[in-house]
Amino acid sequence: MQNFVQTVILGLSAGSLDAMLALGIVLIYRTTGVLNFAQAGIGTVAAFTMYSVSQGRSLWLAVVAGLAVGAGLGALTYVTVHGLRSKHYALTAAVATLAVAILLDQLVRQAWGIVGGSFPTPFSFNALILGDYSIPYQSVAAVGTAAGLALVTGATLRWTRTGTMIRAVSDAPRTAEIYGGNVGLLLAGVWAVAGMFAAVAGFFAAQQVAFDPVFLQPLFVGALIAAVLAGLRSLTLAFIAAMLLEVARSLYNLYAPDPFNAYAQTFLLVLLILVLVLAPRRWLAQTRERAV
Amino acid sequence: MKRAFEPLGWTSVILVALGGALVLSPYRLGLLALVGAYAVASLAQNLLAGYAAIPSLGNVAFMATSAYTTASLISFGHVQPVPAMVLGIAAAGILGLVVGIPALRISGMHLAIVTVALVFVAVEVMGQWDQTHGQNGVSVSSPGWLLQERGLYLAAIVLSVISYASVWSILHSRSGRAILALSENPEAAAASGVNPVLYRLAAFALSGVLTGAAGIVYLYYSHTVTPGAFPLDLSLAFLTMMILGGTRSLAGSLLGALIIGLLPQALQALPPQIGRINVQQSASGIYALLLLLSLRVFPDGIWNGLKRLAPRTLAASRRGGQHPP
Repeated sequence: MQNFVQTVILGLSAGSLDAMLALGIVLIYRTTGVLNFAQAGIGTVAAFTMYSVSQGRSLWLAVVAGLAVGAGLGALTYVTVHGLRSKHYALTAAVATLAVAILLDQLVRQAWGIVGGSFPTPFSFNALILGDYSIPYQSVAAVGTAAGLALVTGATLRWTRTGTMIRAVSDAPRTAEIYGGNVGLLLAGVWAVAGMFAAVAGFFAAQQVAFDPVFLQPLFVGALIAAVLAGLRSLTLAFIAAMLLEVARSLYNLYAPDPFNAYAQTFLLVLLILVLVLAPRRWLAQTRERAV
Repeated sequence: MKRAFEPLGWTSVILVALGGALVLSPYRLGLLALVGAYAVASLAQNLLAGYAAIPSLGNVAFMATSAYTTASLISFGHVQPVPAMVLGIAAAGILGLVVGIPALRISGMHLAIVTVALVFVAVEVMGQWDQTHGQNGVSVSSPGWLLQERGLYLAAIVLSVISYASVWSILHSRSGRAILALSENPEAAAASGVNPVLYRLAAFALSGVLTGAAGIVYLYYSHTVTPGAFPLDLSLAFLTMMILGGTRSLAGSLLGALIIGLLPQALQALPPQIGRINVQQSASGIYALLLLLSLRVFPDGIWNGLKRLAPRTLAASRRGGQHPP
């Protein structure tokens, strides 16, 4: 039983990292109909920026710099894919974000490569002890941050004037423009916020996994799957799906017989396909990709 | 005139390509063999993502499957090379069919995500396979003639011609019209008697088989395959070839493969280091830049763009001839 609970805690911790990436993916897809494959790349560049700035300076200054880089790269990705449309290929903007992801990967490899040191952490290495179980403070902070981001973003979209404008722009961009909304600025802002989510994911993930140029990639697969399970629409569902997905992955690693337990990515893909095949069509209804 | 030119033009291209085997250095022949593999993979990508409008971003998984299967059968199973290659290509075709089954229900972004996840799964399976056999990658040592650049080059040329002819024949047949109809309007196509299950699965399987065949050339070009040889970047390279050359254009696929395949050679002409950038290690970044540029300037590909420009230029020059300045 103790093993089971501790594995669930581990899964929730990893799930919070997936969730931060998934929130950005859903936010962008919901407002612009584009699947952003560059989300992990943005988080990686932001994390490496934090690492560089933190050398000999305050970590919090580094975090601010990383968030700014994340926001800037998010907006830049929007500008790059803005207006792309092909007559014969439906996913033009999504493919363009994949190209941006490769460019960001090259940037990290060329500018930093493999860094020697470990990523700085503001959290102590002690853990929160609850009975027989221990939860690292890093994990508590990551889960809290992911939940907070999901709630605050959801509430902003639902109850604020800016949120209403974003929803109007995503539902009917032309009409929103006629009524005086600055569509380009709003959408760039949404992409910038998603970029900041990626930076936050990079910040927490870099403290928990081996810090190298591909450290966010395994999490990105989970984030993509969580976003799909949330119908690419609901931020709350994306958060819950990411948590459940990583818990399922951790339990699979623990309980699946050898050698199947080594195939966690395969397990996730099978799970994704099963859900996509069995889920009601209405749930999986997609927004048509627009020339954003 | 156009009908007479096309066979003549293609025959000339094939003859020049075959003649290259006599005059080019082994290094260049090896590089061009790789271009041939890319051409076949690009045709397969165009068949699936272009003509059938199925958004596959993970075709590199088919290539990895055939290369790993063939190399493992030869190295560990002691199977003769030709049956091993046939089984490797068949394995890629079967993977295409397996991925095609959920694609009957999933489409658009969801299918794109499934195919991206497929690449990560392929890398995981190859990595575990290597761990089981206690090594990093699988090597091939036979047949000797295919391990030499000239033999590999000729094999790649023959494979490219066969692949081009096969895809062209399919697209100009009843099956090709059915695939196109399904991509344009699935409901209308189904109402007209087109079987969507059959044709979508066939498109996936054929794309798997062709990319698998390209994987064999890739295997013999590199002699050893490792999980790291089949990253998502390579899938993006196939997409870049298709989009850069021309979506829904077979000649465009070949042009795209030629540009992307020869890029490493072009990079060698540059200094190895420009500022902090290692030029030789920037090929993927340049693919990505080319893709973005192509989407912006020639959204339907260079070949389709040139085809549109050519009649205008011709007409302008004729007008110029009639009314000299």
